[in-house]
Amino acid sequence: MQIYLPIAELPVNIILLLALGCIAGILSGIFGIGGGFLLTPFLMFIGVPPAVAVATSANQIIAASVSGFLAHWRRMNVDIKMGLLLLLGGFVGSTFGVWIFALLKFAGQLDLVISLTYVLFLGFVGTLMGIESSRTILKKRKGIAETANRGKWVRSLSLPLQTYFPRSETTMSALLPILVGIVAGILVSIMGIGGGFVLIPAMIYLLGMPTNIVIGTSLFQTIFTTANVTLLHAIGTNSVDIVLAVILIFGAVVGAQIGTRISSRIPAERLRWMLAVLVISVCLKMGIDLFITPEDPFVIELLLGR
Amino acid sequence: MNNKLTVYFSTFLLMVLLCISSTQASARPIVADLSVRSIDIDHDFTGIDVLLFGAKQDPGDIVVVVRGPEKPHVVRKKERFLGVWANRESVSFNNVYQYYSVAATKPLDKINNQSLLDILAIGVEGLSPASITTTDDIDDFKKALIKQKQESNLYSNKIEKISFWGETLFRTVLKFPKNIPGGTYTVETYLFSDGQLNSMQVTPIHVSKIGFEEFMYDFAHNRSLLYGVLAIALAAAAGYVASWVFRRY
Repeated sequence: MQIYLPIAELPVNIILLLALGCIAGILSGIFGIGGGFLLTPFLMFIGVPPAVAVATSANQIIAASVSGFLAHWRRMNVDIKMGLLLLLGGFVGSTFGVWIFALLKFAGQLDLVISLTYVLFLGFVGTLMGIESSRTILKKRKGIAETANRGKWVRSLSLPLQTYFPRSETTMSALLPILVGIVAGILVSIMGIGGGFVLIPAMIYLLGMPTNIVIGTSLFQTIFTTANVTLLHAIGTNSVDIVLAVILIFGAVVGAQIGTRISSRIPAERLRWMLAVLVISVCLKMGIDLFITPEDPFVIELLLGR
Repeated sequence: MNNKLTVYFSTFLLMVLLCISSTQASARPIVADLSVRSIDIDHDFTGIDVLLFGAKQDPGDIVVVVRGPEKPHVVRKKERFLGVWANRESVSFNNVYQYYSVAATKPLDKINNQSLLDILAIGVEGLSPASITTTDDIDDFKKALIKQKQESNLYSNKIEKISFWGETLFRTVLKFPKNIPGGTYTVETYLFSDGQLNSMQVTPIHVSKIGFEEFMYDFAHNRSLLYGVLAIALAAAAGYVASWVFRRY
């Protein structure tokens, strides 16, 4: 069953899009990541122009994040106080990031820098998370209780504005989540994803928050980041396709609910281990793509805005 | 589509009769017309076949060229740099047809006047879009541009057939693929006699979205702020409704 997309300017199969949205939604519900890193390349693969694919994915991620966030919220799995501080940092960071983005584009190597950032960052995060979660799983098997001392040295730094976060049951300087938000915001603007990839590991390993709360809190922050990206694209490149987004959203909201239920049944360290495997797979795929000879060395773009 | 073609075909016969009488009156060596003058893109658009029919008075070869609206394009070339493949050189082309197809009664090289065909920009191989910047291997960039357009079915891979009824009447089916961009296309019908251009006729065909598709496209381009806010609101509302519907499960 085909439907014509008015902004992407081509017809696509509705069932295929629904399935795609559902998979992105499941990932979003389980791990708190938007699924944009899978959705965007696939949309381009079926012929959607890259700008439309990126912008519309961001729009879709809003719905998945709201749906996932509310499901986590009902289970009291969100630290709003932490989320607001991350958001504050996120706005500062993404503004700065957009400026860096423009500089890179001017220098002419934006694509390459994006790929390299993905590979280095995902490789680092994925490996760290994989090692730590495997250790915890093994410890649990031997009957040793999980110790919540991840990244304790960071929180024990004597910084001003020490704040108690009741939901996360931890005390730290309010500057730490703002700083994490800033770094995440910069990376988000450069890497063009929802931010869960950056935020979740940082919240677990630097801020020492419980994994289940981390996901709800990350979704809270992602809603606003992706809304910002959607608006910027709608104004700047006119490349948000609402028809495409609505179809993807139908699949994604259902998927997000399934994902949230899966996530509450799986032990936290296993969730972290699964996310680590996913992150490393994406990293390997992107890394290999950088080195293998492309089938066609030429890339063709339609110049927009003329 | 077959039914439609049958309808077109009867129109074709009727028109041809009219054509012949009018042609003889005005003594034009070639006349041609299309089964439709505009292509409407709506929600179930998956491409369309348009019938071109005509009559020629002089002996010779017919060539039909369809050109889509022109847009600027950039072609970048990836090269190995410190082990990784990175974009290195790029060439900008100012006016590139977004669609291009050719139909002819015989292979173009049999028309025996390649320089004339090149001047008229007839034949995919003869296309040479003007570039803003240039490099040593500019031809590779042009070839890559044309090749990728062919792969996305926007440029014809082969010369389409033109069939004749007797000596005078001809017809060909112009196949517009599902991914054609909107805009004004020109359909050019040429008559070459002994390698020289005898006559030509240009017929425009308008490709445009209609109804909901047109509304959304205009909305996104003319009221982009409102459109963006609506996109966000829709997504947020969908997420909220979904989580409310699923709350008990």
